[in-house]
Amino acid sequence: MTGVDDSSDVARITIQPYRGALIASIQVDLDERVLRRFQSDLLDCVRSSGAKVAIIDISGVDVMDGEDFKGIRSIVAMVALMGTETILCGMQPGVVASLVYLDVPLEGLKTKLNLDATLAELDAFESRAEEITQSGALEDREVANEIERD
Amino acid sequence: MKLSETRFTIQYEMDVAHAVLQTGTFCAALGFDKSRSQMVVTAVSELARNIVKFASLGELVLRTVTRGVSKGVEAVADDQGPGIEDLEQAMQDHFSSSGTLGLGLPGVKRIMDEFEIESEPGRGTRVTIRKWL
Repeated sequence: MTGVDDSSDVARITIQPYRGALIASIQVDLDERVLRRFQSDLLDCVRSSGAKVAIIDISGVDVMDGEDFKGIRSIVAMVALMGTETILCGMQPGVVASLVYLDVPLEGLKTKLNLDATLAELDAFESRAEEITQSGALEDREVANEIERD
Repeated sequence: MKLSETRFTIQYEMDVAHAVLQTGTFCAALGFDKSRSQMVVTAVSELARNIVKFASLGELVLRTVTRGVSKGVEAVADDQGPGIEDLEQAMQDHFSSSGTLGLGLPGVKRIMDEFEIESEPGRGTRVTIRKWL
């Protein structure tokens, strides 16, 4: 990766592991340098943690223009290439309205209202995975199919 | 009638960030709620970024405007850059079809209540946007 700015004046987005997932909480103004640094940090964390899900909480982001959004989208695509799903959560109403009016491509993005809703889904995801693993031991054909679908 | 006015020179990415921040403060002081203020700020961000990307130097003016009993914010993004050859095309350009960002002008127009553009190839571009309270 080139162009990662390691200087300390670039705001860093904290990424924390949480029950097999990663939670990145963006509380700073986005710009190209911040996003490039975040990209590098997040991809490293995904690789080293083996997390199945990366949660990006953007409730602290007041302004996201087309360029910022494109940057976020690229990061989501990179994380997906590594085999990890990304959930964006907490987008503010003004940000949402602006992005829709800007007509940015939204398809393929998984979003949630807020971090609570995202974590609730994470719980459901975990318990479903457990159930499937348990009954999978019985070699139930249908359950095996379900695992494949997942 | 102009009540107050602020000017920003736009040349670098950091100028965009500064203008964007000030636009938010300006809109809030004028009485815009958070969401509508965020929309104006996003539109200003798009215009200011265009100056940095395509014109390398320009100016952004923020002012309060009134019309009858209505009050609002006006932002003018002015540059002496290459100008836009095909305005009609630039106003149809959108993110999804091209896969690139284009100038984002149709989006800016949808975000705001009013949108005017003047551009002359070789002379520059001036975009005026307004949102009413």
